[in-house]
Amino acid sequence: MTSPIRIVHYVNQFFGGIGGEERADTELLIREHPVGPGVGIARALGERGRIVATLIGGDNYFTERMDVARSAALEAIERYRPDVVIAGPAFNAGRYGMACGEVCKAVTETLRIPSVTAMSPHNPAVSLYRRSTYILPTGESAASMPHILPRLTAFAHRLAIGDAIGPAEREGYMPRGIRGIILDERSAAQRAAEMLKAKLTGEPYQTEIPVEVFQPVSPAAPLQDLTTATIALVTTSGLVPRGNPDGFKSMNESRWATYPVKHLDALAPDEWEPIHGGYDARFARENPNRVVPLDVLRELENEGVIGRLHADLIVTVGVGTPVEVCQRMGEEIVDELHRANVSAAIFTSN
Amino acid sequence: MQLDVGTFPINSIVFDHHTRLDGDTLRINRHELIQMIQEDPCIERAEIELAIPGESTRIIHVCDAIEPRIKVSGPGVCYPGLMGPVDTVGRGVTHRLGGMAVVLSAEYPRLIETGVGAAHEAILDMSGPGALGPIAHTLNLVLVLALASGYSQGDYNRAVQLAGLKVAHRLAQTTEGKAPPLRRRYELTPVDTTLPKVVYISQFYTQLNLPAPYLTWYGMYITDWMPLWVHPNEILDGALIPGAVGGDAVRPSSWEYVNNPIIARLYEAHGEALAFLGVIVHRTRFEVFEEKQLSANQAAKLAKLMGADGAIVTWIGAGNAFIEGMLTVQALEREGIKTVFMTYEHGGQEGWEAPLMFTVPEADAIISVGSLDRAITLPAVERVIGGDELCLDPEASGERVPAAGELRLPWRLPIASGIDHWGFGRLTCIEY
Repeated sequence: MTSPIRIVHYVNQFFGGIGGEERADTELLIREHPVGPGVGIARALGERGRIVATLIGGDNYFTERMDVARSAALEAIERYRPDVVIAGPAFNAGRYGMACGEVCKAVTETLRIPSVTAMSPHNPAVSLYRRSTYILPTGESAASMPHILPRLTAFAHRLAIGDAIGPAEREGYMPRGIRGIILDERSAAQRAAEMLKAKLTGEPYQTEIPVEVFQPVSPAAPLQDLTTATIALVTTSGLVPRGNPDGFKSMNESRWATYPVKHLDALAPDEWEPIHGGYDARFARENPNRVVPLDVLRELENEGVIGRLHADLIVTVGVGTPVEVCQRMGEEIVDELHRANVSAAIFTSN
Repeated sequence: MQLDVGTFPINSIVFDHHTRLDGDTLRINRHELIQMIQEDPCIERAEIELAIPGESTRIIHVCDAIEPRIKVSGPGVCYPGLMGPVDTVGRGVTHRLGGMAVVLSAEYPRLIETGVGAAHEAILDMSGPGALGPIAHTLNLVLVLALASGYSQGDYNRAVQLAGLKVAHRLAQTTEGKAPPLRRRYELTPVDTTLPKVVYISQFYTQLNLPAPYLTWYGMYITDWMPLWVHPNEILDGALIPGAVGGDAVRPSSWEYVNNPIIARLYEAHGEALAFLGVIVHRTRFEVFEEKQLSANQAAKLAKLMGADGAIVTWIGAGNAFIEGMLTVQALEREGIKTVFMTYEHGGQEGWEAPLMFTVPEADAIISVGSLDRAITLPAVERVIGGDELCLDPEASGERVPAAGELRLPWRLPIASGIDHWGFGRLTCIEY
């Protein structure tokens, strides 16, 4: 029999019994006993634990002064040393949902205390906080309170005692967007045959990987005047100074770097080397200008065809890199190029 | 085309004076096999070791794993083109040694240094978290080959592969004249015409401009071919197998080719839930988008012409070749052919990131076989077969580490048969 767990519960001014919208500015209040829905949680918990403190925060206080509110909440929670933090349920209340999400996220990331909240799947806070805590789905209004409280309590208890939490569909929380590896009962070949049979006979089936449709990238407008433009060279060919000073990996890399090329008319094979596991780089090794055409661009610059070649070469290794990582790198590189007033980039792969 | 496959289950392998089959014990004259292998001047020295599932044993520099199969009646030979004439196979009687594989271990000199044509490290652990694929669970007779210097990548590939095929053949010969304990018939018999007709589209990348573009069909390298209609029995008889340049996770072993579980499942369902029409061998990794699109369209057209109502599509490779996978699913669905696609996921180290790097809206029926991206730590082992050191990132640092120690891999690529492309196993991903 595990020892009784300690819970800190966060609610807003309304569920905390302080008042309605007119009290939304309420700064953090602390009560050392269950309040509002906390009474139901305590009842469901029985001997297994107790709510050692209830934090009450105004919806506006939290969302408009988030840094202050978050710090205050963290400081209070740390004092009470809970095994788990519960926030809400917030149902479809947007500001309350944000506050619940923020409290849970702060507590889990900063204090390493597990947390759980509950709200409607349509609450805008869901997409912002689902990865940072556990969110159980509720109905739209407080009418679903009797339904959610026992589940919220049970889930919190499991978190507090360190129980391993399984996949979202099985455990009833909203998917957090983490793909975990598990063992199914049936082989994948068997599941493929069964899914095809279902599809052919019109029976229901569920894809194991929901397809995310990537947003197409709209191209930028064409340059009006090349002769005044600063052109940057950006490459995923993995061409780096010889010796690979930044230690790029040949695959699955998540960083990019800049190397000065202002002083160069061309890339010399004894000064540059390709680090890349996805193409036969012999030809790049013999003449690096094949994958990064610095020589030609320098000529065009000297002839006045382009205004200027940007002083730095921007490099990453483009193979086996997840899409989000590529997007993040792309955005960071764009920031760098904007700062340097670069007008256009020539982007070479391999 | 009717093929009877007779299985001789092997439950132990023993080194002995004569190579013969003794019930379910395979007795092997090691010396005889080593002499045979060393006849090839490309091979300086050969050793033969045994690795048993469950042992704390690691096999390194894995190039391939081959199942001993031999044709005892009917036209042609198993592994046609390489082991004999190119007569069409898939008929008659084939014997196989079940539950074992001939594993090839050879460290290639770095003649091709980078890219897909280079020989990347492939590690096969016989126990622990790295024992992921089916060849970690077979009795493995490991040929450890030291390559003589002065030959080309193509020469080495051929020498290593033939060493494995010849040993596999010699072992399979021990079944001649014996009755197999288990027999199974593979035939696409005429069935109820109202059953939905299903085709299996098996995609394989090959990379051009290499001495060994990766895959052979009756011993001929598949280069930039258009999709090909084949009988599943040809695959069972070893008409389609990879070369021996490196057996990492995106290069299934020959053993897996002849034991393809999709073919097995579709045969099981043939005449009951569906009519198995046949297989399309679909070469991928075209380098121009229009070529990828053409290849996908042609595969769908072929399926349509053959009367398919449904299709299962599998692919192998990483990144580049995946695009054809999705385009083919799209082309099939647009032809009205209901499609299921099997794939591994990415997702990054922790599973937050996008599982797939390219998608089409038509891909609504996907089977997941787990992730390539998650880090995995292989524990220290008691015994290593194939060498003392290995290099995990030759294109970058080139650092060599002790093979027996703990190996922290940033992803699963260096694990031989580390990705379950065809659904042998039960690993999958689910959302947390």
